[in-house]
Amino acid sequence: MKRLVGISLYPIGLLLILVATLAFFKVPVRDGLGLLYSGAVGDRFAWSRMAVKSTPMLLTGLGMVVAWRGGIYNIGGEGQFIVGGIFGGTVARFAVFTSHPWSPWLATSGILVACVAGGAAWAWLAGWLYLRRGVEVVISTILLNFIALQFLGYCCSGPLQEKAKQVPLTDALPDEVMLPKLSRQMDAHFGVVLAIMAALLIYTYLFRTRAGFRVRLVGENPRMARANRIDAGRAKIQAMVVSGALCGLAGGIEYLGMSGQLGTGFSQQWGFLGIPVALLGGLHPLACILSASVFGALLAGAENLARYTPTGSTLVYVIQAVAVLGYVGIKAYRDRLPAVEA
Amino acid sequence: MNVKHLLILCAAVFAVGCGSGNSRDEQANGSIKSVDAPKPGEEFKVALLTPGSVFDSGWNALAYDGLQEIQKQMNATVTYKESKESDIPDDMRSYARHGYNLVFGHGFEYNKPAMKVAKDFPDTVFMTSSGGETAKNVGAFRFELEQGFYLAGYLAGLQTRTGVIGSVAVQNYPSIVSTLKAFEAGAKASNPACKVLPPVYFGTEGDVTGAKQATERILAERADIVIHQANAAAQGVFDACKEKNVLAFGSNADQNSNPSGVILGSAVIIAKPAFLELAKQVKAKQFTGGIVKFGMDKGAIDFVLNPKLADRVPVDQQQKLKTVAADIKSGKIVVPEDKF
Amino acid sequence: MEFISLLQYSAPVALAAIGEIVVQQSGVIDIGLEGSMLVGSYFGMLTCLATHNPWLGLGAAILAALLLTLLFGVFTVLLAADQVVVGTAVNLFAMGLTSALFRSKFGGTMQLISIPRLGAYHGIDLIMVGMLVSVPAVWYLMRRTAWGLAVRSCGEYPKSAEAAGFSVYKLRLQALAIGGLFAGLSGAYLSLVIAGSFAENMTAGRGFVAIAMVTFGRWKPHFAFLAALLVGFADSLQYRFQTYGWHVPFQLMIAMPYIVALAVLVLVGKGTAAPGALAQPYRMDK
Repeated sequence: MKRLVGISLYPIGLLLILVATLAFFKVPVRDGLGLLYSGAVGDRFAWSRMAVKSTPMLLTGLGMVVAWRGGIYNIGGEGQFIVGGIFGGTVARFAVFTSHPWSPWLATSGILVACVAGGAAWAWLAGWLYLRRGVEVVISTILLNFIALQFLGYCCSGPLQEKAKQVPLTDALPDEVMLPKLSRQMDAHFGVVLAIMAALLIYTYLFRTRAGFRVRLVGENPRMARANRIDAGRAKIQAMVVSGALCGLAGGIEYLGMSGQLGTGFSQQWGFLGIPVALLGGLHPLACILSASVFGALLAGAENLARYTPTGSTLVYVIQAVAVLGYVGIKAYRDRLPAVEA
Repeated sequence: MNVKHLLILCAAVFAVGCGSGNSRDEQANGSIKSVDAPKPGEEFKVALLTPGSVFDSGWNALAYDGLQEIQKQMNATVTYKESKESDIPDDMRSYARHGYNLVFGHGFEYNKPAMKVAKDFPDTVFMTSSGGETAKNVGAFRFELEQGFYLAGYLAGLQTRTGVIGSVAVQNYPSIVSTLKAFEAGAKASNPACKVLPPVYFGTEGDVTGAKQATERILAERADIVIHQANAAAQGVFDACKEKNVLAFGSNADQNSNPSGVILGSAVIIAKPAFLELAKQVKAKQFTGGIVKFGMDKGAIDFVLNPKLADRVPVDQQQKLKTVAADIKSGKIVVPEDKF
Repeated sequence: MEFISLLQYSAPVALAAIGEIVVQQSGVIDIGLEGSMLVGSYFGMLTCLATHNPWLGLGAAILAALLLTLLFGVFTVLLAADQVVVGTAVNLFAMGLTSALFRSKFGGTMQLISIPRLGAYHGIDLIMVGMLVSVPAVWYLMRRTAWGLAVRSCGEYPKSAEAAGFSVYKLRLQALAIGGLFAGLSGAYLSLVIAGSFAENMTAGRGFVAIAMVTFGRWKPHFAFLAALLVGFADSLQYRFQTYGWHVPFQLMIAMPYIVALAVLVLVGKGTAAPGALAQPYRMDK
C-alpha cells in the first residue's frame, strides 16, 4: 500500500506541475490541459505526432543509457546526432544527387549506415580524448557539440548546399529514398519501428552479451572489473561508440523519416532530451520506450498548445524542466525513506 | 519496478487528458484563442508560422505585426507559432485540418513543405515569404527590402568621412545576404571609391554581446557607418556605434527613435498593408497562386531618415536620395536581388 | 585599449569560470551555470529598467542567479540527485522561464530593450576590477584558508570530510552560493555592462564555455582566467578575420574558440587536478 502511494506520487506530481506551469503563465488551465491531451493522443494524427516525437528521444536516450551504464557522462548526444546527419547528407550527395543515383533501397540504407558511423566517430573522438589525453568526457562533448553545430552550418551553406545555392539547406531527398510512411497525411514513419527494435537490441547487448556485461561492470564496479582483468579503457570506448552510434542513428532517422534535408536547426535539442529520457527510464533500455513516450506525448501536446496559445513554445521547456526536477525530487525523496525502499 | 512506475505514469497521462479534455476533438480546440470568435461559417482564420520568436524586433516581428493587422481589420481569428524543420508540415496540416483559410510561412524554408501539404488541403491557401514554387493554393510573396538597403548604402556612401562602411548580421541567411549586397551596391553607386567591409556574422540569435563585439571590430577598421541585420541583438550594434560616436542604420522596423540616438535612418518593411492585401485576396477567393513582390512601388518598403539627425544630411544629399528613391519606384533603377 | 576590450569580452566567461572552480572543488559540477547566468541577465535587466538604477539591477541579477544555483543545490546536494540531469533541467527551465516572461512583458512592441549601464572609467568598470581581484582572492580562499581546505576535501573524498566533522551538505551549498554569486555577476555583466540590453538566450552558450575553461585551467583560478582570456582572444581574432574578408566560412571562425579550447586540453593532456569526487552525488549517513 505504501509503495502504491509512493508510485502514485509521479502522475499526481506531473499533473500538478502541468497545472502550476499553465496557471503561472496565465494559460487557462482546463483548455491548456485539453490542448496538451488532444495534441498528444487526441486522434490518430496526434498518435502519429507523439510517435515521431518520441523516436529521436528514444534513440538518444538509449545512447545515454549505454554510456552512463559504462560510467561515462556523454552529454554530446547533440553533436553526435548532428555529425550523423552530416555524414548521411554527404552520402546522399553521392548516392542520390548524381547523374547515376543508387537504387532507392540501397541509398536509404547507405545513408542510414553513414549516419550511424558519423555519430559513432564523433563519440569515439571524445572517448579517445578521454583515454589517451585525459580530457573529461563532460567537457570534450560540450565543446564537440558546439563544433558540430557550427560545422553543420558550414556544410549547409558550403559543400552540402542545395544545387541552386540559394538557401542554407541541403537538397531535399526524393520521397522514394525517405523511410516509408503510414500515410501521406501523417508523419509516422518506419523509423519508429527501427527505434523500438534498437531498444530491444540494446537490451540484449547490455544484459545478454559478454561485451555488454563488461561495460556494465566497468561502470558499476571498476574495482571488480579490474580484478577480473577487464580492459576498462576498451570497454569505455566501446560504450561511447555504441552510444554515439545510437545518437547518429537518431539523426539518420530524423533525416530520412522527417526532415529530408539538413539545415542549421536540424537537431531540436534531441541529444539533450535523451538525458531525461534515460534517467526517467531508470537507465533501462526497455523502460526508455515508455519514458520516451511520456516525453514524446508532452512534446506533441506542447506543439498543439503552442499552436493555439500565445506563450506556447517557450512553455514546453519549462514544463519539461519542471517535470524532470519533479521526478528527480520525488525519486530522491523516496530513496531517503527506508520504509518505502524496502 | 521502474517499468511499473512508468506504466502507471502513462496511464495517468491519459487519465489527466480524459478528465480535463471532455473528449473534445481537435477541431473544437481550433478556436480557443479567439475569445469572441465570429459565428462558424463566417469566420476567417489565419495562422502564421515563423522561424524564430515573433518578438525579435526584426524579421519575425514584422510578420506578427501584419498578422495583428489582419485580426484588427478583418475581424479574423489569428494564431501564430514558431515552427522549424520537421515540425513545419505537421503544423501546416494541423492548421489546415482546423479549417484555417490562410497559413503564412514566414521564410524560404516553408515553401517546399507548403507545396507538399497543399495538395491535401485545397481549401486552405499557403503563403510563404520568398521561395520559388507556387501552385493553385500556394503562393509566395517577397519583400524587396534590398531597395531600402540600397538607399541606406547610397546615403552611407555620401555620408562617410573615412570612406569605409560595414555591416553586422546574425547569420548568412539568403534574405540577409541579399540585402547586404544591395547595401554595398548602393554605396558604390554614390561613392565608387568607398570601401565596403565584408559583413561580420556573430552567429547566435539574441547574442547582443557578440553583435557589439562584431560592431566594434568593424569600427576598428575605420568604418564610420554601420548597417545591421541583427534582429533582437541590434541594441549591441547601436551601443557600439554610440560609444565610438559614429552613425548606424536601423533595419526591418523603423528604429530611428532608439535611445542610443545614433540612427541616421532605417530601411523598413511596412508589412501591415501587404499582409492585409494578401489576406483580403484569399478571403475573396481571388487568390490563384503566384509570386507577389512588395517593393517601394507598392509602399511596402521605405527608407526613413531620422528627423532628429536630419540636419546631418545636407539638402543636396537629401535631394539625391529622393531622386534615387523615385527611380527605384519607377523601375529606372533596378536594385540587385538574390533569388531564393 | 585592445587589452581592456579583451578583458571586457572575456569577463563573462572568466567570472563564471572562477565561480565554477569553487563549486567543482567541492565535488559538484554545475551544468546549470548557463541557466543561472541567463536568469541573472534577465532579472538584472528587468530591475534596472524598472528602477533606472543599474546597481539595483546588479543586486537583482546576483539574487536571481543565486536562487537558481541554490535550487540546483537542493536537488543535487540535499537530495543527492544526478548533477548532469538536474543541470540540464535547470538550463531548460531558465531558458523557458526568461523567454516566456520576456515575451509576455515586452512582446509585440517591436522595441529593443535599452537600459542604463554600470559606469566605467576608460572601459574599466567595477565588476572587471572585482574579477581581477577575485582571481588571487579565490586562490587564497581555496588554498590558504581552513574553509577552502574543507571544501576541497569534500570534493576529493567527502567521507573523510565528514569524518573530520564537517558537514558535506553545508560546505557544498556554501560553495554553490559562491558559484551563484559569480554566475549572477557574469549574467549582469552581459546585460548591464556590455550590452545595456537583453535578448532571449543572450548568454549564447558562454556558461558551457566557462565550464570547459575550468577543466582547461586545471581547477586553478589564475589558469582558468588565462584560459578565458585565450578563448576570448581567439574570439576577437575570428571577428578580425571576418572583417579582413578572408574566404574562410564564418561558421568555422565562430567554432574557433571551441577548437582552441579542445586543442589546448589535448595538449595539456592527462591531469590529476580534477577533484576526485567530482559529479558524484553524496549521501550523508544518518
